[in-house]
Amino acid sequence: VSQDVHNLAGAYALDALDEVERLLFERHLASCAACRAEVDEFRLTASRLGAAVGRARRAVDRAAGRAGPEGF
Amino acid sequence: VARGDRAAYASLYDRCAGQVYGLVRRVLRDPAQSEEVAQEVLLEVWRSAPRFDRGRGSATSWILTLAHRRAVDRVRSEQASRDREDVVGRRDDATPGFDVVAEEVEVRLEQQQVRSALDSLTDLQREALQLAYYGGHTYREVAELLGAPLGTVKTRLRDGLIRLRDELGVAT
Repeated sequence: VSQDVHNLAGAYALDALDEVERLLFERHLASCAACRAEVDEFRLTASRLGAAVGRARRAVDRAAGRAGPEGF
Repeated sequence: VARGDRAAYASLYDRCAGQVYGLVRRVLRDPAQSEEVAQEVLLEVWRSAPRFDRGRGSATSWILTLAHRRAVDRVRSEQASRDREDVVGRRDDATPGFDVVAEEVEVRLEQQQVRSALDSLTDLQREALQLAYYGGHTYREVAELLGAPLGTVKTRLRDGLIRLRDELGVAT
């Protein structure tokens, strides 16, 4: 397997592959423990970017008086 | 939640609903669609919780990973029907968007850590990561937006994530 395939681990973990490449990379993942480990770490890393966005209050929660960002 | 316990789900919901909606809206931007997708994500969390594998990271990380995936799915399906006419206009939206609401201390700390980790990247790494993650773009679109070769963008997304991972002390 060429180095090029391993290189897709970043784009994969960011959901930045198109459908065809995503399926191809997932096939590669099934047989590459190094990429699986890297993808797990990248997903955790990407979710930190997601957590940093912060909370937004949904209209439905506002209407129901549920805990939104102000209530957390 | 793994046993389908309602009280546990209610508590998870209260902790995560705002974060899920915040991230989905960051990627999708349209409030009504974001509400729909966030609701789908929370239902999916509820249904698949019994399969949740603790070894793969915290529940929050898993939920945000799912939320991002579903938001991107929606972006791609919307864009398929909209012919991507405004792809360049989306470039402005690559910033993290740290100002959704006034946040409590814990979230502000997370934001500071992420901001400082992003600051440690090269400009190309940072812009590529932000366009891909926050903008919901494929790496091909990112290459187009940045006027950079495909192979370079692929590599920068990966080595940018390696740098972020190390800066944030992420380990599995």
